[in-house]
Amino acid sequence: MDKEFDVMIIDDEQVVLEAVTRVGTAHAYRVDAAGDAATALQRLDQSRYRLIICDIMMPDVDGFQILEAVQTGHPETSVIMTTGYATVEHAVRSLRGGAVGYLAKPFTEEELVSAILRGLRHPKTAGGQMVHDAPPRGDHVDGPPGDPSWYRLGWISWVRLEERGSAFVGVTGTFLGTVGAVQRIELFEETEEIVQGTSCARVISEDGLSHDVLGPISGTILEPNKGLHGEIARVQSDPYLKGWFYRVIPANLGYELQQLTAWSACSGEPLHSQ
Amino acid sequence: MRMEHFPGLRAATAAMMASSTRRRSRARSVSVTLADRNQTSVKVDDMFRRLAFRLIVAVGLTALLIMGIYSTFSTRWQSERLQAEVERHASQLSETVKRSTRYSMLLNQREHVHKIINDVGKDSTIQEVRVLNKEGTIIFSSRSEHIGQLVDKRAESCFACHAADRPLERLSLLERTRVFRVHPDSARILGVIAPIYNEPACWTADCHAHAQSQSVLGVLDITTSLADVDEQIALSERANAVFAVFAVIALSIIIGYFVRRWVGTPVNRLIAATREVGSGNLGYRIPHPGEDDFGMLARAFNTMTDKLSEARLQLFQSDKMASLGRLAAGVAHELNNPLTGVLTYSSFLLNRAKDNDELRSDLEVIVREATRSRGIVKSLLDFARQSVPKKSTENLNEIISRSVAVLQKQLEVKGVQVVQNLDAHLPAVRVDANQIQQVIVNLLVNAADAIGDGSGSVTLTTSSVSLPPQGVAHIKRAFCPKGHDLMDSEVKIDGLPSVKVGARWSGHKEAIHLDPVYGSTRHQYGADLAPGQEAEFLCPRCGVSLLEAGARCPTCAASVYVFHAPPRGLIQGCTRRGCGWQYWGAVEAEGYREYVEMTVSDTGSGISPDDLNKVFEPFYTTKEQRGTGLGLAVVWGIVDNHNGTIGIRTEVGKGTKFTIRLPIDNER
Repeated sequence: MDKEFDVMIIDDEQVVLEAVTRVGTAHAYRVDAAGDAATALQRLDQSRYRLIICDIMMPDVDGFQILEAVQTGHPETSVIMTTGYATVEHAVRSLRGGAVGYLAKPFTEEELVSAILRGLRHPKTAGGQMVHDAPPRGDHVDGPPGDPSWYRLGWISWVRLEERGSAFVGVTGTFLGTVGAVQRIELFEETEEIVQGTSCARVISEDGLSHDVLGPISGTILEPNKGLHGEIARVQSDPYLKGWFYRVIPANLGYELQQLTAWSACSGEPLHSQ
Repeated sequence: MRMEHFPGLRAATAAMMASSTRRRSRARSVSVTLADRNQTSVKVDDMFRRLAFRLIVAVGLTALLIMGIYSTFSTRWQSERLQAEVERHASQLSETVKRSTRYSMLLNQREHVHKIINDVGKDSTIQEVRVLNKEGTIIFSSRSEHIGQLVDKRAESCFACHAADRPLERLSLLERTRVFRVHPDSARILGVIAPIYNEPACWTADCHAHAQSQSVLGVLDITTSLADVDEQIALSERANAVFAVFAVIALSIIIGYFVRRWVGTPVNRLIAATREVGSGNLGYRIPHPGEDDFGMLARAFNTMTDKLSEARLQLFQSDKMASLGRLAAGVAHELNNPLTGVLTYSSFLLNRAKDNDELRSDLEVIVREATRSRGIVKSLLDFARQSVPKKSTENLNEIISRSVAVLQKQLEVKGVQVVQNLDAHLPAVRVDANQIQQVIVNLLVNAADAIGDGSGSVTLTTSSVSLPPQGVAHIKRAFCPKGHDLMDSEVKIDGLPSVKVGARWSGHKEAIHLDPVYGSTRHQYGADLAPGQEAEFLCPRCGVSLLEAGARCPTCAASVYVFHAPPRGLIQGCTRRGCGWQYWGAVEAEGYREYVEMTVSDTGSGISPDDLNKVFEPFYTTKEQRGTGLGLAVVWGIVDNHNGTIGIRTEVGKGTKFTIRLPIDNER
């Protein structure tokens, strides 16, 4: 472990390797590039990497296999998946598999930089274990009695099902933590549709970067949280209750819930631990 | 719905065109191998002729053999019977001669004996009557020139008794009989020898001619001609042979007739059908298969070609869809990588060219266009995925309530009242809830737009219905026997693409657009075909006849057209204008089906008849700037993907009612 890199880009396309290296280096990151899975896995044993950006569709090894190998062999390294065949399935599978982010090709410089930034900021313990927050316990919820059902899409967004059929959608404390200070949040309008695994809102951080929030479910927006416009701090202080983004009517809940991770209130760490 | 779909659709069309070109080239290579098969069927024909010939030869030979054996035995038996009769007669005669000459012999009246023997010998059938003494000397004979001659005991007339040079005394009639020919050409002669035994009267007679010690004094030998018998046998043999020849010929003719009728005709039909199918006409059916084994074979053949043509068309269809999906994935993957380079570098440069206005505006163009390309590729992927609904078991009422809730405020503002008459006991259906919600929202938005600024109401109802296929089943695909698509989206009937066929009668020719709803008769005819007139239906592209050979309309006896409607078999119908008879075996076999029915009716402006045919077309809109023109096209696509049907009833100025039916057992 003689060397330490901030980012390794794994892709079979030379132009993608060059572009990421160029952008990353310009932003003062130490970037390494690997053109195939074997090289990448070999380098992982030789050097230390804080973040890996990995292509899903490669000729020799499936990107998901690399994700799994990194998850088990190098838990201290965060992974962002990327692909040119950007489907909802790929996005959802990546995030369920433990990737901290998902970046659809082609991406702009800004999208790449914000993704790298979030990936590097993903909270970890000193030993390299990922740290996550969790929604509050059932008895804190100011809704109908009974434990609400929480599901999450990776560590990005959450959905809370209500008994009356609608659902609340919001962003996780972990995601907000990686974004940094929030300047404003851009939400969709009422009656617009959000789609699972694709951008449903944009968080603009104080440094001017915009961060896409991937929606946890598909549905039609009943109401966006209008209170957020005046009081951005509400999101950061209470992302699970007062800081929700939308109330939606789910479009295909039965199918989509299977793609999400059930999130019990006691799993993970409380938000203020970071 | 969303504008991004436009390029997606365009790209999809290009992909389908590419795929259909490929299909055409494949079809050509298929027809080459089918030509070889044609030659094979010629060989099959020859083979059959040989088979029929062999069958006739085999049966003929068998009949000949059986008759040969029969007539041989019969002739032999007959000849034995006749010969025995002659023998018996000869033996009787020799007894008679012996007895009638006995007295004269005892008296030694030789003249008398001569006389009797001569008289008996005059009978035409009797060759010779003679008496030989013990030494073999002929002492009496009906032929006087033989008297006194010595017969060699080893000669055949004596051999029976004198086989071992010693006289035997008692012999059976058979042993005393012999058949011989004087020369090879002469008729057969039967000789019977009767020994004359010694008796007391002989040695006590006056003449004392014989000693008492002698047991046999001589023999009476009568020979008769078998010419009559032989002639009869020959006659009978000839008759048998003639009969056998006639029988074999008759048998062959009869067998040949039945082989031709029961085997030849069906086999020839099968051969003709194989040829038709071989030449690519997968719609060919063997007309009127009988109830026998060949009928079953013909039925099986028909079923096989049905399945074959369905499989082929399905293959083309799925091939088209699969290649579209592959193409989309391939294009997305291959295009997105270079696009990543363009977009990343251009945005990178843009962020670094903030001070250089000229460079900045140029770079902005590159970033904008690269971003637009990204949108195009994305919509291509979305389009490729759209065709597969993600189904789960859902309650249609809940989807309706959710959809109404989505639009509630918008509708209230417009002054549109929503009335829901939902069946509380509606069975669940397997649908993609997202897509169905899209359908309902689109219909509600359309209804609100049709109502316009004045107030009105939209009524939503649900119910479960059980419907026969007639008037419900939708003909979504139609192909001529050579695989040409008959669906015509240029001309729509009640908003659905029609089935276009050519019609030809006494020199006239025109196109007919058939109603795509099974059993429904809103066909669109050209100007010339008069009501009640029959026409030959043709494929408008290749001109192949759609008439079903020999079939007649059960209601008016006119000729019957037939085309393929994969994946559900053939559709038959009457070619006479005005006769509404149609038969779709596959859907009739399914019988009544359970549907959930949803209607969305408004009190709006209605749709004019001109517009009605175009409402489901993509990019068709009457809303000018407000709509994209994709709303109802998407509705149609979704309902179609759910194997459902959609119908419109409309009246200008009164309103429009959409009826959507989704099958409950929707697993296909």
